[in-house]
Amino acid sequence: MEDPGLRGESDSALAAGAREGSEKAFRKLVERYHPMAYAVVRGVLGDRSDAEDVAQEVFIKVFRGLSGFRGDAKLSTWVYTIARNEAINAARKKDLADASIEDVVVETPEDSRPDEQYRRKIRREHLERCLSEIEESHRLALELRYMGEMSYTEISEVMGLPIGTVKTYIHRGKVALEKVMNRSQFVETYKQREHP
Amino acid sequence: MSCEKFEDLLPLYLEGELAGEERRRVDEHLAGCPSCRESLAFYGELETALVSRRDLRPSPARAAAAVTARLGLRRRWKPLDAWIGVPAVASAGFILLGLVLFVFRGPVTVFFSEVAERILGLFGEQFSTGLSRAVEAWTSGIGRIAGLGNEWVLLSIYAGLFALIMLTGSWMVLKFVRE
Repeated sequence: MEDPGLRGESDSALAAGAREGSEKAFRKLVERYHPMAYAVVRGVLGDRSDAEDVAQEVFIKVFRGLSGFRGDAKLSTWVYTIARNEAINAARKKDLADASIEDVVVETPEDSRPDEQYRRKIRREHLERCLSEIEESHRLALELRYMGEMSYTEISEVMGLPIGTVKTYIHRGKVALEKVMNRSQFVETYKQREHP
Repeated sequence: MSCEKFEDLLPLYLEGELAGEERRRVDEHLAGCPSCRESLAFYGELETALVSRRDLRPSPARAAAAVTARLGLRRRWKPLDAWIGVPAVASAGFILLGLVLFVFRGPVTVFFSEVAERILGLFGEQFSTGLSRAVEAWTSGIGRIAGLGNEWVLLSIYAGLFALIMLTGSWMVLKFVRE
């Protein structure tokens, strides 16, 4: 639950509070940037079950690095950089091939078992698999936009790219998804969800 | 323009990023092209599916709790700010004044009685005597009810005020200082 006492605090005030040892300020900082960090980790790692652990590790690094953070960069950009590096390191350490989606048994969306929950699971897994197949920069931009709920401006700031490029990445990511997904079946299964 | 070119524009069309002539041309093309309409339906569903993935995301509050637990962070007290010293100084001053009054109660009582009498004298002798008697009657009255001497009654009133200051100070500390 968001702490009303720090809801309006600026990033620099939260960073300063956390640096001085305020647990409340640090919690608020984590709550504010966890969606972005989680989106970055998923964007880099693709469909990985350890994304949550890696995202936590990001904030352990953030906490330990706070004493060196003097506000030259924006806090969001700094957290983004740590998240990206942490995700890349996690991918290297565990060897992505071992944990890649190819090792997970994913059934195709045309499975006809009637249970809606099951169908939803299959659709979700299908989408995750397709997301893991598209270019990383496009996936990262899509994750920041949809999982991180960030605006184009915010994404462009943290990624250090012009807004036009961010829009292009998101657009190309969607076009790439269309290519790797079975378009008509995807639409059909979602229609079944809306009108069973 | 080919279907492929139109399909490239569809995600932007859905996000409301196309305007004017470009949007009108896409509208016209969609009206006569079932394949692009299917593609538009795909992008619409994709948008919904991408948004729905947010339920995979752990709650930020839960994640924050997990991180602080892993770091072993606990709620802690900030160093006392200058203004927080106010109730502390007031309490210390109150205790000191109490000690002085208690130790030198003889001369102090005489001194304060004289000062009080002079002040009250300004209002006339009758008023001064009346007020002194009223105060005396009040303290001895409480003393009789409680079975205590006058000094104990005054001491208990003093202790009550002291406790009030301490409670107020503690409340302020708990409310404003605790992290």
